[in-house]
Amino acid sequence: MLNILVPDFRVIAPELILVGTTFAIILWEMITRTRRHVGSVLLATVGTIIALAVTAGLSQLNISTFGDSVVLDPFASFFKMIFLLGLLLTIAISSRYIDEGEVREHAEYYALLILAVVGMMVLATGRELVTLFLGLELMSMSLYILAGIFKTDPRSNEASMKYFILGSFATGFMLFGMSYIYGMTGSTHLRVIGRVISENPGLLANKGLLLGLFMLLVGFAFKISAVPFHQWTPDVYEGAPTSVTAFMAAGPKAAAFAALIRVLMEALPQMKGDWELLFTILAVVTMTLANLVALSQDSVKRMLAYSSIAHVGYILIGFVASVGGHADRAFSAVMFYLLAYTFMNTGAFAILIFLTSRGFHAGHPWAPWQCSFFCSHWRGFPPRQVSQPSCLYSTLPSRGSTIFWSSSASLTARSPRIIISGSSSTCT
Amino acid sequence: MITLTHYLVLASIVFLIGVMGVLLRRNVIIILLSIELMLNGVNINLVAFSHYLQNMTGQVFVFFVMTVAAAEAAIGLAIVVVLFRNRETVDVDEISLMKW
Repeated sequence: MLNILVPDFRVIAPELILVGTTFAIILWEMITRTRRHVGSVLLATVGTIIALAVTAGLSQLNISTFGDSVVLDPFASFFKMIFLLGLLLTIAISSRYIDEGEVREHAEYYALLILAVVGMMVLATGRELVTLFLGLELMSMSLYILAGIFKTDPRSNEASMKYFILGSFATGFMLFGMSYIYGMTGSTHLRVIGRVISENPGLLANKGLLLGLFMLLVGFAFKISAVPFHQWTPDVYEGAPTSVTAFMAAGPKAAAFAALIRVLMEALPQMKGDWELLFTILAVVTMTLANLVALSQDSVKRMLAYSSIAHVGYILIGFVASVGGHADRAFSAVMFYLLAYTFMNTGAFAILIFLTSRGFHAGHPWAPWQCSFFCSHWRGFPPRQVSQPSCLYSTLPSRGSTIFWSSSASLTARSPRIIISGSSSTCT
Repeated sequence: MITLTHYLVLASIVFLIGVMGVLLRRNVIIILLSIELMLNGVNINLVAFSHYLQNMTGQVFVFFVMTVAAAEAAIGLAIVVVLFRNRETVDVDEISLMKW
């Protein structure tokens, strides 16, 4: 009897649909040779909506395929939906903006946006270091090009260059970490790594594995732009086209967090003692520094960039909290935060695009209200986000001091934000 | 006798040369080369581990790293070309319209 394992393509169905959409968009532009981009926008929107519907339809499944290297579980589905919603919002805000810019290659713009989302989805579904690496690179490379899509604008070129150098630099570190984790455990599969570590407790003190963990986390910290590794963020966010900035601030960060959660929970849960301290420091430093530096910015885009760095700090508290024994609750708080963040952040940048082209006075009485609505995110709206610190307090007995430190830093860090959003609303 | 440690030390040296190149050199082309050097340090690591563990995954990983590095070089050089057209420089110290 023929016994061949047929891959379960449902796991990567949305990715396949999106890749098909990119081909369709590029072919459409090649065939019609049109300067108008209605076709690209339409194709991109339809493809994204179909992918979203398929993802929603498959969201209850818990299956894996390709030798267990990609997995579709509710966790992955949730993140896929975040990315697709972010993509949809980005397409919505960019059609006009890109048209007014000097981009002639509309098809490339939309195709790259979608390819970046495919990379993010691979990041959220990968259960294997090689798969995660490929997803990360697909996402990053699309973003390097997108950041420089305004080819004649030197600031856009510069953003692209800086993003490229620092992004590849971070990838190098991450790969170095991955190679050591592979060398010490003999596998690149996250589950197997986790099993090997739990079966050989001696590995926990192994210097090579510690080095691997450290380098891997440095790479991830670059990608999520936590504070000592955040230098690229303000420059890239400022120089890149605003619609791309809106896209970059939400999806790729959520994708890096998804991969980070999966790596930590499936491969390295035994090493929580090691990464807890690292995340505590990162969270406290990120929240504090990003908010303080945001105060002194005079470009709104730069301020939003620092604000998004500060959000990373808040999200990192969830990682610290996960150590206390309620990992599921901590990470569901992180996931909700990322969902809310995607909407509010894209909204803030959409308002920015609107203001750049028209200003507050052009007969749109709702613009200032929308502006304050999206800025209210910085003060902790929607309210369930605020429950994140309280979720942390529930784990206090087990991990007293570190949690206390990061929580109190979070509460103090919120106060400068009120000043920032106060000063930004004076521009109305 | 060349042991695993020798390979790991060599890989670390190559990787560190790459890191230093990215941090210290000012020419974008040299920085791109240094990034390649970092990735090749990782490749030496992976092949050494793969040989030591008698496990093929590491060597397959190397192929993926090499492929991605090639794609990365293409994108990097494309960005440099576009940048050079507008600014007529490839010195990172002069690429500072925004605060670096």
